[in-house]
Amino acid sequence: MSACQDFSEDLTAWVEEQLPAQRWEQLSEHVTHCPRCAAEAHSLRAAIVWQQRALQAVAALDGVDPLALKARLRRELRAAADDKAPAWDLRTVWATTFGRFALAGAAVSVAATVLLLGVGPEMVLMPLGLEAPPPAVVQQTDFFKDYPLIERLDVLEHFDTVESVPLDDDGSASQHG
Amino acid sequence: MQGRPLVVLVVATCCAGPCRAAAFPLLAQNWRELSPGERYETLQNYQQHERLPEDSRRAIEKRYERWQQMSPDERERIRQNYQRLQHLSPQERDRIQRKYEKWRAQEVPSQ
Repeated sequence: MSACQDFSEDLTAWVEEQLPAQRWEQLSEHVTHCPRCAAEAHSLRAAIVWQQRALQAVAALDGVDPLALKARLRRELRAAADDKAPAWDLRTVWATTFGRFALAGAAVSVAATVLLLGVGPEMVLMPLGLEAPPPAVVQQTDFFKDYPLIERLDVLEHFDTVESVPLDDDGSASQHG
Repeated sequence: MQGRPLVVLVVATCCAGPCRAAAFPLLAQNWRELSPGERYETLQNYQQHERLPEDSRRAIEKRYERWQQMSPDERERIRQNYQRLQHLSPQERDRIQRKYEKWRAQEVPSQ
């Protein structure tokens, strides 16, 4: 299984014979003995043949360089795949036993927090990033984050001066302790 | 009340992990940069603000405009003062508030 994972990244390059000789031989050896990778290689080869025919047809119509177009398509598709690839996939996590326990634990934790704190579920889901916060919070995060400070801005701005102001009950306050 | 952010932080840290970045990739960077505990407190502040009467809300929003126009040094000084205030007991904070009101009455005499 781990060998297949190790080779799967290079399988397309192997089919297209674009690997360094030593690596190409390693993959050839593996594909010879692994029916799963052999089937995938067969499928890739068929896709590549179809892709080349399609590119040739397009090139014939528009006078485009098929190799340049192929390279550009590959770049674009790879970039799109990288952009869309989620950093975290629920199905992948669920597929493992540990993942199932972790997700079940997370669900129980969220439910317990909602019950214990008596807050709405959004007060747990939003901080976790599982629910979108109100637009005002997103637009003015700084404001709401520093809210306690901004509320007292007038006092804080003149704190040293204010601190030295004597109060009428200063004497009695110290007497009464 | 004091323990709530802590509990949320513990739970959030256990189960948030990488999912928060994947869940809402289009949100403003600022919100995404906050920890779950900070987000919880930010949301609480938002709810508190929403409950205020309109004139009180406007007053605080004007203070925020002033805060935005302050220099980084001035903001840092005010943050330090806020930390000092946070370390005072409720009675001492109440005294500071009364001192401020007295000082303000002297500085800006009512008409």
